Amino acid sequence: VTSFEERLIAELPALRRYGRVLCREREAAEDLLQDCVERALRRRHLWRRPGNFRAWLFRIMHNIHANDVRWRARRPRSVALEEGHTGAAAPVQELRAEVGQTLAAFEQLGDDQRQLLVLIAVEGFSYREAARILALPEGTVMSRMARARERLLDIRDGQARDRVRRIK
Amino acid sequence: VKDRQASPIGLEELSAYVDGELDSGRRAVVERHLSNHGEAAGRVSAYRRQDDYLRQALAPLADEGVTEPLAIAQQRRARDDRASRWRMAAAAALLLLVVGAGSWWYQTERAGERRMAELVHEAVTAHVAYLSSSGAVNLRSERSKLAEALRQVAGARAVLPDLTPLGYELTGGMPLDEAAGPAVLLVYRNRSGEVVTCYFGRNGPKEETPYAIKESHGINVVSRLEGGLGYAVTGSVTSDELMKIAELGYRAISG
Repeated sequence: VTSFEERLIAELPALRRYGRVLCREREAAEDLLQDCVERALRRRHLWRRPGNFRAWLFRIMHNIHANDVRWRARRPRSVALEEGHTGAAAPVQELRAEVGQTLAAFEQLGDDQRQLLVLIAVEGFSYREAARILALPEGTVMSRMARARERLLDIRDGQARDRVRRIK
Repeated sequence: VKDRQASPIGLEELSAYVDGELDSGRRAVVERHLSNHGEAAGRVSAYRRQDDYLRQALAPLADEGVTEPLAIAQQRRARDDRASRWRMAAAAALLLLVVGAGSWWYQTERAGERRMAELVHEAVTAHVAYLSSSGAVNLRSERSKLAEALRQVAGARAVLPDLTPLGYELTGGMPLDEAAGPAVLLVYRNRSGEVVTCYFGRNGPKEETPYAIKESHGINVVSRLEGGLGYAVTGSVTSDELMKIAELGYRAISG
Protein backbone atom coordinates (compact mmCIF):
# COMPACT_ATOMS: atom_id res chain seq x y z
CA VAL A 1 0.00 0.00 0.00
CA THR A 2 1.47 3.32 -1.03
CA SER A 3 0.72 6.18 1.30
CA PHE A 4 -0.72 9.51 0.29
CA GLU A 5 2.60 11.22 0.89
CA GLU A 6 4.64 8.77 -1.12
CA ARG A 7 2.29 9.17 -4.06
CA LEU A 8 2.45 12.92 -3.69
CA ILE A 9 6.25 12.86 -3.72
CA ALA A 10 6.21 10.67 -6.82
CA GLU A 11 4.09 13.26 -8.64
CA LEU A 12 6.27 16.25 -7.74
CA PRO A 13 8.35 16.22 -10.95
CA ALA A 14 5.27 16.21 -13.18
CA LEU A 15 3.60 18.88 -11.05
CA ARG A 16 6.74 20.98 -11.20
CA ARG A 17 6.64 20.76 -15.00
CA TYR A 18 2.98 21.69 -15.19
CA GLY A 19 3.65 24.59 -12.85
CA ARG A 20 6.38 25.79 -15.17
CA VAL A 21 4.01 25.64 -18.12
CA LEU A 22 1.34 27.52 -16.19
CA CYS A 23 3.63 30.23 -14.82
CA ARG A 24 6.28 30.36 -17.53
CA GLU A 25 8.91 31.32 -14.99
CA ARG A 26 10.83 29.49 -12.38
CA GLU A 27 10.23 31.48 -9.23
CA ALA A 28 6.50 31.74 -9.66
CA ALA A 29 6.38 28.06 -10.58
CA GLU A 30 8.21 27.02 -7.41
CA ASP A 31 5.79 29.09 -5.32
CA LEU A 32 2.87 27.52 -7.13
CA LEU A 33 4.25 24.04 -6.54
CA GLN A 34 4.67 24.75 -2.87
CA ASP A 35 1.14 26.13 -2.57
CA CYS A 36 -0.17 23.09 -4.37
CA VAL A 37 1.61 20.65 -2.06
CA GLU A 38 0.41 22.55 0.98
CA ARG A 39 -3.16 22.52 -0.19
CA ALA A 40 -3.02 18.85 -1.14
CA LEU A 41 -1.64 17.95 2.29
CA ARG A 42 -4.32 19.99 4.01
CA ARG A 43 -7.07 18.47 1.92
CA ARG A 44 -5.90 14.94 1.89
CA HIS A 45 -9.01 13.84 3.75
CA LEU A 46 -11.06 15.07 0.79
CA TRP A 47 -9.34 12.73 -1.61
CA ARG A 48 -11.39 9.60 -2.17
CA ARG A 49 -9.36 6.46 -2.55
CA PRO A 50 -10.65 5.11 -5.85
CA GLY A 51 -10.40 8.59 -7.36
CA ASN A 52 -7.73 9.60 -9.82
CA PHE A 53 -4.94 10.93 -7.63
CA ARG A 54 -2.90 12.56 -10.40
CA ALA A 55 -5.88 14.38 -11.87
CA TRP A 56 -6.85 15.53 -8.38
CA LEU A 57 -3.39 17.03 -7.81
CA PHE A 58 -3.26 18.70 -11.20
CA ARG A 59 -6.69 20.18 -10.65
CA ILE A 60 -5.57 21.65 -7.32
CA MET A 61 -2.57 23.23 -9.01
CA HIS A 62 -4.63 24.50 -11.90
CA ASN A 63 -7.20 26.08 -9.60
CA ILE A 64 -4.61 27.82 -7.44
CA HIS A 65 -3.04 29.23 -10.57
CA ALA A 66 -6.38 30.29 -12.05
CA ASN A 67 -7.22 32.14 -8.83
CA ASP A 68 -3.81 33.78 -8.73
CA VAL A 69 -4.25 34.96 -12.29
CA ARG A 70 -7.68 36.30 -11.51
CA TRP A 71 -6.60 38.26 -8.46
CA ARG A 72 -3.10 39.36 -9.26
CA ALA A 73 -2.11 41.61 -12.09
CA ARG A 74 -0.36 39.35 -14.52
CA ARG A 75 3.33 39.59 -15.06
CA PRO A 76 4.41 40.53 -18.54
CA ARG A 77 4.08 37.63 -20.92
CA SER A 78 7.22 38.27 -22.89
CA VAL A 79 9.31 35.39 -21.72
CA ALA A 80 12.10 35.14 -24.21
CA LEU A 81 13.11 31.59 -24.85
CA GLU A 82 16.72 32.39 -24.05
CA GLU A 83 15.91 33.80 -20.64
CA GLY A 84 12.88 31.85 -19.63
CA HIS A 85 13.62 28.39 -20.78
CA THR A 86 17.25 27.69 -21.37
CA GLY A 87 17.64 27.15 -17.68
CA ALA A 88 14.85 24.68 -17.68
CA ALA A 89 14.57 22.77 -20.88
CA ALA A 90 18.28 22.17 -21.38
CA PRO A 91 20.25 24.51 -23.62
CA VAL A 92 18.21 24.72 -26.78
CA GLN A 93 21.19 24.12 -29.02
CA GLU A 94 21.74 20.79 -27.32
CA LEU A 95 18.28 19.60 -28.19
CA ARG A 96 17.71 18.09 -31.57
CA ALA A 97 16.78 20.84 -33.98
CA GLU A 98 13.19 19.65 -34.35
CA VAL A 99 12.74 19.46 -30.60
CA GLY A 100 14.12 22.95 -30.12
CA GLN A 101 11.87 24.29 -32.86
CA THR A 102 8.86 22.60 -31.32
CA LEU A 103 9.67 24.15 -27.97
CA ALA A 104 10.04 27.59 -29.54
CA ALA A 105 6.70 27.16 -31.31
CA PHE A 106 5.08 25.90 -28.11
CA GLU A 107 6.20 29.06 -26.33
CA GLN A 108 4.22 31.13 -28.81
CA LEU A 109 0.94 29.40 -28.07
CA GLY A 110 -1.67 30.85 -25.77
CA ASP A 111 -2.01 29.57 -22.22
CA ASP A 112 -5.10 27.45 -22.94
CA GLN A 113 -3.42 25.58 -25.75
CA ARG A 114 -0.16 25.04 -23.88
CA GLN A 115 -2.01 23.66 -20.87
CA LEU A 116 -4.00 21.23 -23.00
CA LEU A 117 -0.97 19.99 -24.91
CA VAL A 118 0.96 19.34 -21.73
CA LEU A 119 -1.89 17.59 -19.95
CA ILE A 120 -2.81 15.35 -22.86
CA ALA A 121 0.26 14.90 -25.05
CA VAL A 122 2.92 15.04 -22.32
CA GLU A 123 1.20 13.86 -19.13
CA GLY A 124 -1.08 11.41 -20.91
CA PHE A 125 -4.35 12.47 -19.29
CA SER A 126 -7.53 11.41 -21.05
CA TYR A 127 -9.90 14.04 -22.46
CA ARG A 128 -12.22 13.35 -19.55
CA GLU A 129 -9.49 13.89 -16.97
CA ALA A 130 -8.23 17.00 -18.72
CA ALA A 131 -11.79 18.32 -18.82
CA ARG A 132 -12.05 17.89 -15.06
CA ILE A 133 -8.70 19.52 -14.39
CA LEU A 134 -9.51 22.50 -16.60
CA ALA A 135 -13.23 22.67 -15.70
CA LEU A 136 -14.22 22.46 -19.37
CA PRO A 137 -16.72 20.29 -21.25
CA GLU A 138 -15.11 17.24 -22.84
CA GLY A 139 -16.15 18.35 -26.31
CA THR A 140 -14.33 21.63 -25.82
CA VAL A 141 -11.19 19.76 -24.81
CA MET A 142 -11.37 17.71 -28.00
CA SER A 143 -11.83 20.65 -30.34
CA ARG A 144 -9.26 22.83 -28.58
CA MET A 145 -6.73 20.02 -28.61
CA ALA A 146 -7.10 19.70 -32.38
CA ARG A 147 -6.71 23.44 -32.79
CA ALA A 148 -3.65 23.49 -30.55
CA ARG A 149 -1.96 20.79 -32.63
CA GLU A 150 -2.75 22.61 -35.86
CA ARG A 151 -1.53 25.91 -34.48
CA LEU A 152 1.73 24.29 -33.42
CA LEU A 153 2.19 22.85 -36.91
CA ASP A 154 1.42 26.24 -38.47
CA ILE A 155 3.99 28.01 -36.33
CA ARG A 156 6.60 25.42 -37.23
CA ASP A 157 5.72 25.76 -40.92
CA GLY A 158 6.31 29.48 -40.50
CA GLN A 159 9.67 28.84 -38.85
CA ALA A 160 10.66 26.58 -41.73
CA ARG A 161 9.69 29.24 -44.28
CA ASP A 162 11.75 31.81 -42.39
CA ARG A 163 14.76 29.54 -42.44
CA VAL A 164 14.42 28.97 -46.17
CA ARG A 165 14.19 32.72 -46.69
CA ARG A 166 17.37 33.28 -44.69
CA ILE A 167 19.25 30.66 -46.68
CA LYS A 168 18.20 32.27 -49.97
CA VAL B 1 -5.39 25.68 -44.81
CA LYS B 2 -8.37 25.00 -47.02
CA ASP B 3 -7.11 21.64 -48.26
CA ARG B 4 -6.78 20.44 -44.66
CA GLN B 5 -10.48 20.95 -44.12
CA ALA B 6 -11.50 19.21 -47.33
CA SER B 7 -10.91 15.81 -45.71
CA PRO B 8 -14.17 14.00 -44.90
CA ILE B 9 -12.78 13.03 -41.53
CA GLY B 10 -12.23 16.19 -39.53
CA LEU B 11 -9.00 17.24 -37.89
CA GLU B 12 -10.69 16.94 -34.52
CA GLU B 13 -11.24 13.29 -35.15
CA LEU B 14 -7.68 12.74 -36.33
CA SER B 15 -6.41 14.44 -33.23
CA ALA B 16 -8.70 12.40 -30.99
CA TYR B 17 -7.52 9.29 -32.84
CA VAL B 18 -3.90 10.12 -31.96
CA ASP B 19 -4.94 10.49 -28.32
CA GLY B 20 -6.73 7.14 -28.30
CA GLU B 21 -10.04 8.85 -27.55
CA LEU B 22 -12.24 7.27 -30.25
CA ASP B 23 -14.53 4.34 -29.62
CA SER B 24 -13.73 1.20 -31.58
CA GLY B 25 -16.31 1.93 -34.29
CA ARG B 26 -14.97 5.37 -35.15
CA ARG B 27 -11.42 4.15 -34.77
CA ALA B 28 -11.99 1.55 -37.48
CA VAL B 29 -13.53 4.18 -39.76
CA VAL B 30 -10.57 6.49 -39.25
CA GLU B 31 -8.08 3.71 -39.85
CA ARG B 32 -9.78 2.75 -43.09
CA HIS B 33 -9.71 6.36 -44.12
CA LEU B 34 -6.02 6.70 -43.29
CA SER B 35 -5.10 3.65 -45.34
CA ASN B 36 -6.23 5.33 -48.55
CA HIS B 37 -5.78 9.03 -47.81
CA GLY B 38 -2.09 9.87 -47.73
CA GLU B 39 -2.66 13.41 -46.62
CA ALA B 40 -4.64 12.42 -43.53
CA ALA B 41 -2.10 9.71 -42.70
CA GLY B 42 0.67 12.27 -43.02
CA ARG B 43 -1.17 14.56 -40.67
CA VAL B 44 -1.55 11.82 -38.06
CA SER B 45 2.15 11.07 -38.15
CA ALA B 46 2.93 14.78 -37.99
CA TYR B 47 0.80 15.02 -34.84
CA ARG B 48 2.56 12.02 -33.33
CA ARG B 49 6.00 13.35 -34.19
CA GLN B 50 5.13 16.71 -32.77
CA ASP B 51 3.83 15.17 -29.52
CA ASP B 52 7.06 13.26 -29.24
CA TYR B 53 9.19 16.39 -29.75
CA LEU B 54 7.09 18.16 -27.17
CA ARG B 55 7.66 15.39 -24.64
CA GLN B 56 11.39 15.55 -25.26
CA ALA B 57 11.42 19.34 -25.04
CA LEU B 58 9.53 19.45 -21.76
CA ALA B 59 11.07 16.42 -20.09
CA PRO B 60 13.86 18.46 -18.46
CA LEU B 61 11.32 20.67 -16.72
CA ALA B 62 10.22 17.76 -14.60
CA ASP B 63 13.74 16.98 -13.40
CA GLU B 64 15.00 20.46 -13.13
CA GLY B 65 15.52 20.00 -9.46
CA VAL B 66 18.10 17.35 -10.27
CA THR B 67 20.03 18.58 -13.26
CA GLU B 68 20.11 22.21 -14.17
CA PRO B 69 22.27 23.79 -16.84
CA LEU B 70 22.14 27.45 -15.82
CA ALA B 71 25.49 29.15 -15.74
CA ILE B 72 24.98 32.25 -13.65
CA ALA B 73 26.63 31.83 -10.27
CA GLN B 74 23.74 32.95 -8.14
CA GLN B 75 21.36 30.65 -9.90
CA ARG B 76 23.91 27.89 -9.60
CA ARG B 77 23.92 28.29 -5.84
CA ALA B 78 20.16 28.10 -5.72
CA ARG B 79 20.34 25.09 -7.98
CA ASP B 80 22.83 23.22 -5.81
CA ASP B 81 20.59 23.92 -2.90
CA ARG B 82 17.62 22.52 -4.74
CA ALA B 83 19.53 19.53 -6.05
CA SER B 84 20.57 18.57 -2.55
CA ARG B 85 16.96 18.86 -1.46
CA TRP B 86 16.00 16.48 -4.19
CA ARG B 87 18.60 14.02 -3.08
CA MET B 88 17.27 14.39 0.41
CA ALA B 89 13.75 13.89 -0.84
CA ALA B 90 14.81 10.72 -2.59
CA ALA B 91 16.58 9.51 0.54
CA ALA B 92 13.59 10.30 2.67
CA ALA B 93 11.27 8.54 0.28
CA LEU B 94 13.43 5.51 0.92
CA LEU B 95 13.17 6.12 4.62
CA LEU B 96 9.41 6.17 4.28
CA LEU B 97 9.57 2.79 2.65
CA VAL B 98 11.76 1.50 5.44
CA VAL B 99 9.48 2.92 8.08
CA GLY B 100 6.32 2.10 6.20
CA ALA B 101 6.98 -1.24 4.57
CA GLY B 102 7.54 -3.06 7.85
CA SER B 103 4.35 -1.47 9.09
CA TRP B 104 5.38 -2.72 12.47
CA TRP B 105 3.05 -0.30 14.11
CA TYR B 106 0.11 -2.23 12.80
CA GLN B 107 1.37 -5.36 14.49
CA THR B 108 2.59 -3.99 17.76
CA GLU B 109 0.28 -4.34 20.71
CA ARG B 110 1.43 -1.18 22.37
CA ALA B 111 -0.51 1.88 21.34
CA GLY B 112 2.43 4.11 22.25
CA GLU B 113 4.76 2.38 19.82
CA ARG B 114 2.13 2.47 17.16
CA ARG B 115 1.51 6.17 17.58
CA MET B 116 5.26 6.81 17.70
CA ALA B 117 5.81 5.12 14.35
CA GLU B 118 2.92 7.05 12.83
CA LEU B 119 4.34 10.24 14.24
CA VAL B 120 7.76 9.61 12.69
CA HIS B 121 6.08 8.81 9.40
CA GLU B 122 4.02 12.01 9.45
CA ALA B 123 6.97 14.15 10.49
CA VAL B 124 9.33 12.83 7.84
CA THR B 125 6.80 13.05 5.02
CA ALA B 126 5.90 16.60 6.00
CA HIS B 127 9.60 17.46 6.15
CA VAL B 128 10.25 16.00 2.72
CA ALA B 129 7.11 17.30 1.07
CA TYR B 130 7.79 20.79 2.34
CA LEU B 131 11.42 20.92 1.29
CA SER B 132 11.11 19.22 -2.05
CA SER B 133 8.21 21.43 -3.03
CA SER B 134 10.12 24.62 -2.50
CA GLY B 135 12.98 26.26 -4.34
CA ALA B 136 13.63 28.50 -1.39
CA VAL B 137 12.01 28.02 1.96
CA ASN B 138 9.82 31.05 2.44
CA LEU B 139 7.84 32.08 5.43
CA ARG B 140 4.65 31.67 3.51
CA SER B 141 2.26 31.38 6.36
CA GLU B 142 2.76 34.31 8.65
CA ARG B 143 4.11 33.77 12.11
CA SER B 144 0.84 34.56 13.81
CA LYS B 145 -0.96 31.90 11.79
CA LEU B 146 1.69 29.33 12.66
CA ALA B 147 1.55 30.33 16.33
CA GLU B 148 -2.22 29.91 16.35
CA ALA B 149 -1.95 26.50 14.68
CA LEU B 150 0.66 25.46 17.23
CA ARG B 151 -1.59 26.52 20.12
CA GLN B 152 -4.37 24.40 18.70
CA VAL B 153 -2.13 21.36 18.66
CA ALA B 154 0.08 21.89 21.69
CA GLY B 155 -2.08 23.93 24.04
CA ALA B 156 -2.82 27.55 24.80
CA ARG B 157 0.53 28.25 26.45
CA ALA B 158 2.66 27.03 23.54
CA VAL B 159 4.77 29.57 21.68
CA LEU B 160 6.82 29.20 18.50
CA PRO B 161 10.13 27.65 19.59
CA ASP B 162 13.07 30.04 19.46
CA LEU B 163 16.09 28.09 18.25
CA THR B 164 18.38 31.08 17.70
CA PRO B 165 20.64 30.04 20.61
CA LEU B 166 21.56 27.06 18.42
CA GLY B 167 21.83 29.17 15.29
CA TYR B 168 18.50 28.26 13.68
CA GLU B 169 15.92 30.79 12.47
CA LEU B 170 12.29 30.05 11.82
CA THR B 171 11.88 30.36 8.07
CA GLY B 172 8.54 28.74 7.32
CA GLY B 173 6.00 26.14 8.17
CA MET B 174 2.47 25.01 7.64
CA PRO B 175 -0.54 23.71 9.49
CA LEU B 176 -1.52 20.18 8.48
CA ASP B 177 -4.49 17.88 8.71
CA GLU B 178 -3.40 14.46 9.82
CA ALA B 179 -5.53 11.40 10.44
CA ALA B 180 -4.86 11.86 14.16
CA GLY B 181 -6.01 15.51 14.04
CA PRO B 182 -4.47 18.91 13.35
CA ALA B 183 -0.69 19.13 13.25
CA VAL B 184 1.86 21.80 12.47
CA LEU B 185 5.26 21.75 10.80
CA LEU B 186 7.81 24.46 11.63
CA VAL B 187 10.85 24.88 9.41
CA TYR B 188 14.14 26.21 10.76
CA ARG B 189 17.31 27.00 8.93
CA ASN B 190 20.84 27.87 10.03
CA ARG B 191 23.38 30.05 8.29
CA SER B 192 24.92 27.23 6.31
CA GLY B 193 21.52 26.32 4.91
CA GLU B 194 20.92 23.25 7.05
CA VAL B 195 17.21 22.70 7.50
CA VAL B 196 15.51 21.06 10.46
CA THR B 197 11.78 20.79 10.98
CA CYS B 198 9.79 20.52 14.19
CA TYR B 199 6.57 18.62 13.89
CA PHE B 200 3.76 18.76 16.44
CA GLY B 201 0.88 16.33 16.17
CA ARG B 202 -1.91 14.95 18.31
CA ASN B 203 -1.44 11.97 20.54
CA GLY B 204 -3.78 9.84 22.61
CA PRO B 205 -3.75 11.10 26.21
CA LYS B 206 -2.21 7.98 27.73
CA GLU B 207 0.68 7.13 25.44
CA GLU B 208 4.04 8.30 26.71
CA THR B 209 7.51 7.53 25.48
CA PRO B 210 10.93 9.03 26.13
CA TYR B 211 12.89 10.54 23.26
CA ALA B 212 13.67 8.02 20.55
CA ILE B 213 16.08 8.47 17.64
CA LYS B 214 15.58 6.96 14.22
CA GLU B 215 18.21 7.29 11.54
CA SER B 216 18.07 6.29 7.91
CA HIS B 217 19.67 7.44 4.67
CA GLY B 218 21.20 10.51 6.25
CA ILE B 219 18.05 11.77 7.90
CA ASN B 220 17.61 11.72 11.65
CA VAL B 221 14.35 11.95 13.54
CA VAL B 222 14.06 12.54 17.26
CA SER B 223 10.56 11.97 18.59
CA ARG B 224 8.60 11.64 21.80
CA LEU B 225 5.05 11.33 23.02
CA GLU B 226 3.87 13.11 26.09
CA GLY B 227 0.40 13.92 27.30
CA GLY B 228 -1.77 14.79 24.34
CA LEU B 229 1.17 15.72 22.17
CA GLY B 230 3.39 13.99 19.63
CA TYR B 231 6.63 15.83 18.88
CA ALA B 232 9.28 15.04 16.26
CA VAL B 233 12.35 16.91 15.03
CA THR B 234 13.74 15.93 11.64
CA GLY B 235 16.94 16.91 9.87
CA SER B 236 20.16 15.82 8.24
CA VAL B 237 22.29 16.89 11.20
CA THR B 238 23.92 14.64 13.80
CA SER B 239 21.63 13.03 16.32
CA ASP B 240 23.42 14.93 19.14
CA GLU B 241 22.67 18.28 17.55
CA LEU B 242 19.15 17.19 16.74
CA MET B 243 18.60 16.16 20.36
CA LYS B 244 19.74 19.59 21.57
CA ILE B 245 17.34 21.22 19.13
CA ALA B 246 14.52 18.93 20.22
CA GLU B 247 15.05 19.74 23.90
CA LEU B 248 15.23 23.47 23.32
CA GLY B 249 12.16 23.34 21.11
CA TYR B 250 10.22 21.34 23.65
CA ARG B 251 10.65 24.04 26.29
CA ALA B 252 8.61 26.43 24.14
CA ILE B 253 5.57 24.21 24.32
CA SER B 254 5.87 22.86 27.84
CA GLY B 255 5.41 26.46 29.02
